[in-house]
Amino acid sequence: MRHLSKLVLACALGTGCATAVPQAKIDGVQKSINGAADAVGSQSGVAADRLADAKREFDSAMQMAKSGSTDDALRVLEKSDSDAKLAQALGVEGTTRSQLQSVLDQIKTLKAQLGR
Amino acid sequence: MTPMSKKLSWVAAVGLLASGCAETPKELIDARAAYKRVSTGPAAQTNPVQVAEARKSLDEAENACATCWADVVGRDKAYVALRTSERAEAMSRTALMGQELTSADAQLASLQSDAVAAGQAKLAAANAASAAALGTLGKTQAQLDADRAAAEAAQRKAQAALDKIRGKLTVTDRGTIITLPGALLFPTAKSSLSPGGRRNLVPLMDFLRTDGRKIVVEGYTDSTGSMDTNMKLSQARADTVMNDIIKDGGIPADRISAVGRGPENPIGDNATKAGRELNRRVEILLLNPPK
Repeated sequence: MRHLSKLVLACALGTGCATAVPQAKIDGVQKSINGAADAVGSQSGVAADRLADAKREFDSAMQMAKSGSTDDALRVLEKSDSDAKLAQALGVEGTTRSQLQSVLDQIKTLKAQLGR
Repeated sequence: MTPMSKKLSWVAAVGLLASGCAETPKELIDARAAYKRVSTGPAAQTNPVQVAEARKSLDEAENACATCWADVVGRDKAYVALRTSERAEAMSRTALMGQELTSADAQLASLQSDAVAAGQAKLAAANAASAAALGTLGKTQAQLDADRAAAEAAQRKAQAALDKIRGKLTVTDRGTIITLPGALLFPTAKSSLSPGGRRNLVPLMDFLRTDGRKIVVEGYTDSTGSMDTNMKLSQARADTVMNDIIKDGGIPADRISAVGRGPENPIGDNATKAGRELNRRVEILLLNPPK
């Protein structure tokens, strides 16, 4: 009886021995990574770095899930998701900055043409 | 293990756990700083939802870090909280740039409109200038047409007058030649115009005036008499006709010249009376401009 209690406790504190990483969670993170990849595109810098982090963490989480470390996998998936969402936000920011710069350049050119 | 050493072990274990809990992970410090930055910056206004998510994420990290046995979990939660705050900041910057972009787009549209208007004004001015030029050209062309018609009418009038006095108007490559018999202009051996001769010149004046070409008056004699006399007489007669054209025809002096050619270029047979009469003549040449 005492041995059984220890086993239950170990399972509860351990890696979630009886449960797997929910597929919906994996799909959600994958979706975040795909969205980030679209937003970052060919940009370099922090956005690309965060996207790379997200991918690396996702792969690592998948390895953990495969080896049965469900809780660790979920924890790293959270990190991957947060990096992917940050990468996406940075990618959108970079695109917006480029658009703004382009418009400002056009304004400058037109002003010069109009002598203003 | 003695009871005493057991107690010491527990104290040590509790001490270790206590010190672990007291130590704040670097990730949590960074997450707190990031949240403080985002919650006091523009994001609080532009992206309150994302800031609230960052708050929630930071709270989870704080709770996780408060449980000493969950050290790794706490650090990872803090990592996620940091990223959540950074994301809120990025989205806020994007929102502000979006506002700037909207304003810049409006300014660009206004400038483009101005540029189009300026271009249209420039085009309209160019069109107006072209139209004015065309108008001038049309007027000039109309004037030219009128001038040509007047010249043709004057030529017809001159031709009619010449027909009456047995004069001749010939159009050649060199120009137009008006041939006037000498007997109709001058008394025999004289170089001043007879009254009838002056009258005979009058119908030609309109034609000479409207034509506009350079005029050369050439005097000719028959072959009777000395060359010197004939050259002088032909020159004097040519000069007389030239001066009369200048005076009565109003032809500018720089448009006309006179030359005596004596018996050169006979048009009749000097052996006959009729031929000699033909040779005594004055020719008025209206020279074509050089090609």
